[in-house]
Amino acid sequence: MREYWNPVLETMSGERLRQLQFKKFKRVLQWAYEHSPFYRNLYREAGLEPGDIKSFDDIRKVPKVDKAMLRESQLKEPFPYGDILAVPTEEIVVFRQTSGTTGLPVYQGDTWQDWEWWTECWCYVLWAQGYRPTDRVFFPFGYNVFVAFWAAHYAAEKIGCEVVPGGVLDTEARILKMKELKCTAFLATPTYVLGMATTAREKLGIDPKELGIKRITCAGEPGASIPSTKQRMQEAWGCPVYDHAGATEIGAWGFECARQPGGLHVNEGFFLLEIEDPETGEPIEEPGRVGKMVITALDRIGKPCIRFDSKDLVKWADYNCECGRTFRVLEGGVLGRADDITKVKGVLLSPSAIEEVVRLFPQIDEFETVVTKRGDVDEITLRLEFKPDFSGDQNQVLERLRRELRVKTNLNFKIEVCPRGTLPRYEVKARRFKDLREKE
Amino acid sequence: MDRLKAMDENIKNLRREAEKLLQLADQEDLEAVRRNAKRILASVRMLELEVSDPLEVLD
Repeated sequence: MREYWNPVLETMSGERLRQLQFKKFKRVLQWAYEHSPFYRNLYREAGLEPGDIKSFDDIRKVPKVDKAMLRESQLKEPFPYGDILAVPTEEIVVFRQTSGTTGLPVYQGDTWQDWEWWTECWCYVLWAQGYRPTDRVFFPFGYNVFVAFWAAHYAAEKIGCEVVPGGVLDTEARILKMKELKCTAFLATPTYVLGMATTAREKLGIDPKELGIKRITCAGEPGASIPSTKQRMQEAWGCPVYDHAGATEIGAWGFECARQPGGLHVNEGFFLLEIEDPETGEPIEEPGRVGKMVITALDRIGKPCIRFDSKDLVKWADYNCECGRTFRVLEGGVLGRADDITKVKGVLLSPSAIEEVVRLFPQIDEFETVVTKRGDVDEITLRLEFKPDFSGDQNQVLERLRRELRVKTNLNFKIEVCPRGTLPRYEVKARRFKDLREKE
Repeated sequence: MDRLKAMDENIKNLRREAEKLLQLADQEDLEAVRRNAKRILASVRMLELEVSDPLEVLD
């Protein structure tokens, strides 16, 4: 079976890929300058014209954009997308929006061509993870205003899979439908993948491994690139679980291939990904050094995304994937978000570090972290629920957990055991880290 | 490479034909043809991204 969706791009030499990216970057820059008032004003204010970009290094002269700028642009005409739009509104055929996790939602309008492009990007993801026309793929997500797995749905159709939409069904009904139709794959957030396994076991008396699922694709949270979370999902379902990274404003830009190289391939045929030092803004080319992702969607035209400062923290891997793709790998996937990193008791902490530890404990089901302030002192509390079938020594587990958390984060956690079912469950993006300090 | 070039030639023909169709639909004011031609053009664009664009740097 063919390994690649498009070997022309996926096995192109790094040098050729850079040439292609440069050509495409200039094209989308020119397009945005001519058609989007937001980008034109931004570049004019910086004294930059598209013709000034003469070499790959010149790309760094192009001003970056971030979510706050997109929100500001959105307040202008045309409603509801604002002056960033580079096509007349009648060309927009698809509305989606961000979840608004970090503020007001950003509205995303796509032309039909852009929507085809979203789908095409997802074809790379699914094909690399082994999806083929023989698969019957279940989509257990709420089909609504969030982009979530919409484009994945169309990509699965495009590559020839049989697609089963599990929209408004509840979790039990979704599992029973997957069983009834002998579905071979599904896509969900890591939280929901684990939640479905629990529901199957506890409410339906079904061992998820017996459902015959051959592959699962995750998105929306970093869990599938966190080794302990990934292992837990794979053990629960008895099949490989793959990661994917994308964003409403950007597109479906990264994917783990079937070889599971310990990170995400960047689709460098369609995206230009730069990594920069979060403090100095200096470019990071060398592997292993964590920096902030700045990304360009090279072929998106309705609402162009040029040098978007995503705040995601990533690092280049120092190895090539044995799958043969020349698309570079981000080791560990998305490692966190620059704006998620917070100081607790003077120590820098990333919420994903906590998940990494907690998921090492199979006895623990759900958890959340709460940061509060007692007087002038920060307090960090991990609340957790044990699995109902765990009958071992809780204190022993808690002691080990506290120790592991201390080693990983340099912080002493207070740990509270909560009664079963009292912590929130999530279907989409989980909010397991709650910083309540400002509100007090 | 020859086959890629042949594909690229076909893609260019598809674009030409779809654009002609769109033009005719505009002149005749036939919405059904206009909309379907635009969809064909979006698909043609994907073919260009997959073949024609990379060919430019492989040539």
